[in-house]
Amino acid sequence: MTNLVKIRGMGAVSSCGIGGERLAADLRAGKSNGQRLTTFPIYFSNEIKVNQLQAALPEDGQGRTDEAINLAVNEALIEAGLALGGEGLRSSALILGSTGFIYESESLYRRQKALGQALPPPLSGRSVGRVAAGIAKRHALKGPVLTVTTACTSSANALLLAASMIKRGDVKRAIVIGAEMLNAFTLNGFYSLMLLSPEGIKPFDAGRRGLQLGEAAAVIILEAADSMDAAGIYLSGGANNCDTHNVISTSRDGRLVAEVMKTAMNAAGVFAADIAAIKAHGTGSLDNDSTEASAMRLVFEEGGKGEKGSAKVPPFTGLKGCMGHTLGACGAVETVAFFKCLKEGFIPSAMGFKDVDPGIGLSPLTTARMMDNASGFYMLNFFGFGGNNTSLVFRYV
Amino acid sequence: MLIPIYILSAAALGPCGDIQQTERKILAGDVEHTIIQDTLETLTGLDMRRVGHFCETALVGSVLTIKRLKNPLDPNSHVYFGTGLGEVQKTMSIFKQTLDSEGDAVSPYSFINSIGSTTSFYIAKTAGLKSRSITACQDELSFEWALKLACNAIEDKDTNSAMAGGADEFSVPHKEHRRRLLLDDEQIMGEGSGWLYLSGERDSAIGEVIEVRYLPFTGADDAHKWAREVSNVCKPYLAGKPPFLLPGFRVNAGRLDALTKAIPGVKVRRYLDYCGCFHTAAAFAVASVFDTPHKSDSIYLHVNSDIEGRTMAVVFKAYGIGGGG
Amino acid sequence: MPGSQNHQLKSDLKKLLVETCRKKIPPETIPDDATLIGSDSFLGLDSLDVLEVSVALKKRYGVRVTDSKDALRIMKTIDALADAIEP
Repeated sequence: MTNLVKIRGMGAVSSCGIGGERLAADLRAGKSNGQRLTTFPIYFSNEIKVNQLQAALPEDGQGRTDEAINLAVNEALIEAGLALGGEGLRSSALILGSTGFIYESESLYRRQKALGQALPPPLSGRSVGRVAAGIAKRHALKGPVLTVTTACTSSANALLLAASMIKRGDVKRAIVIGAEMLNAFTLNGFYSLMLLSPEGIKPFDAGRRGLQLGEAAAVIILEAADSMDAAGIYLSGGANNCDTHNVISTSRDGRLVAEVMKTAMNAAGVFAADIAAIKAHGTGSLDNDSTEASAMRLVFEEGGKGEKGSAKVPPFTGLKGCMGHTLGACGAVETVAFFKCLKEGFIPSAMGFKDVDPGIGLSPLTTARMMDNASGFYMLNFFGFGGNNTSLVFRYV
Repeated sequence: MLIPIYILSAAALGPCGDIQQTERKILAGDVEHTIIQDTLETLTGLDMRRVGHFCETALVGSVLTIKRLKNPLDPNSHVYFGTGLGEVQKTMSIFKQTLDSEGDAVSPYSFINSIGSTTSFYIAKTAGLKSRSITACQDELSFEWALKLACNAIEDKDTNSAMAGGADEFSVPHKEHRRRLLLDDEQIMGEGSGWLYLSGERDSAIGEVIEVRYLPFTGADDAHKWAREVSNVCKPYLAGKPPFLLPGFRVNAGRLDALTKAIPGVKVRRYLDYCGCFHTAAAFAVASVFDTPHKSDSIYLHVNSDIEGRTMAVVFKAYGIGGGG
Repeated sequence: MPGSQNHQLKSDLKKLLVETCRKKIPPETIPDDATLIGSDSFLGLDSLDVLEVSVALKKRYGVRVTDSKDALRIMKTIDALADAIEP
């Protein structure tokens, strides 16, 4: 049993390119990678922007998810100094978070239709759990394999569950994966919900008009640690709850979102005043950004009073202006991106934000915050459909 | 388990809309869908017009489980929900609409239903819960995972109580869905849900979860070695009394034979005859054990594997009338 | 003729709303000027219903609504909806 969980290695493939460093480089440069969708056809492709993977991936449309995950796994393994087939990882848990893997089914269906072949039943043999099971099989991993699907909090919850398995002593290490590929199914769904912005994502901005979807695969290797003396990134605590107000948006007062932040801080054993900065979820949607801001106010302005004197919302940022909203993958890929930046000594600005919304009254970082000493506690928030809210508190040493 | 995990109530919904023992039927073949929306609206008194059949399937079980609680529901209970395929019918309809009729907007209701966390949203909403809610999708082991995560959370004192359940639906044509499940010709396809309300408190318990063990086998592993390890999961708890065995639908004849030999006197309960094969049939199996009170304390072992052989064993006890021990 | 004076259109719209949102009431009982959206309203529709109706309106009448705020505005009452379809 241990109470300490540390990040041993990280990797990511995203619209910024192959490698976690690419995320930090684009966030530092303020480079938005939004573009018109080119991977497959949709009828409204000229109305929206997306963040597409920048990596050489199989052209037949099959194995795209697997290949993206492979690239991210390899990077994380190199950073961790571990080998998948080696003893250090053989009995590790493999926990994957995603909303599902429909891209491959779609491209197979399109290809067979084009060839005039008998149409196969879509989704055959491609349950959500198959991707994680396949990775475990290919690498002869003997540890527990689990896939979590809680919409946009999927891989954040995967991190939370992995940490709990390590703390229980069930496993020494866990390979946590977040993976999400753009597909027509999901884009159509969001389009019907009128949630896609016609002009890119503007988190917390007065003129925000919705989401910009993206794709990514990211890997975080977690392991038990004996102490927090060594330099590194520790997952100090986290929490998840379910706001049952409305299936597509959180309640406007932000009470449940505030609750999840407070529970996460309790689990990490820290006070509001200890949080150095926040990585907000910041989707750029009209309602959810308001809710998130209200929640931050409840926790840090109201709740922060009297603790250590501070009663201000800490500096906060959003990362989706650079990599898009990668749905089930955002828990993993935004964690990688945030700490890659911190390692380079800065907290990135919230790309896409320009004007304060009077209804929100808070401004995220408009320029990168340079940090001489980045040591401290950081809160990373993730919210999803079905009212699923997750907050993670990390300690950076 | 590090501490006892008590089962305070349970409910199972079978493919014929059956929710109690008198309604259970041995299936003669693949069944048609049973309309359960009215059952659900009667149970909840809520307007369920927007949820799909899959969500209804999960909800009938979860709502009944809470109704059957003798004590008030702990408002901080977690929800752990397992499903192998999730919402299939709405997903299929959006898939076809998206790829076959380019240019048509898809139905927002259907899209919302197809999302992984929607069912657990309604489970929490109908129960009035706002605490942790996790959906696990790990093929044939989805319910076992939900159960394991629920037990872990109670053991770790993250919560005092939790709902653990599983649900899956089939889609038509049957032939297409059978292929999705990779079933043999003689296997009957089904659907349904099963739920347990778990607590660290013993008061009014009807049973307890003893073990949820993950065994990293492959399909190539020797049946006898597999049977030995699976039987070892339940052996410490038998106290000379043979257990009941609930074999899942990926346990082949060779392995079942080896397992019955490894546990002397074991009584096999072929629950799949009643619910048919689906990824979370285990949830129906475990929950339906509590359909009727037991005369004396009984130990049950449920075992299933995924198609690659990874195995999970669940050992639980149903208390006899007059309180167990 | 503005849509709000077209009785056939309004009767059709009531049917469409009830069918699309799977409401268990006779369509003709919806007053032309009753508010439709919000928990206190006659039909008790919410934002998700409004989106579902928008998809149905596009299919039936070719009316294209792409902004959720516009959708909420035009679905205020049956009269407003009819006027939006036949200005």
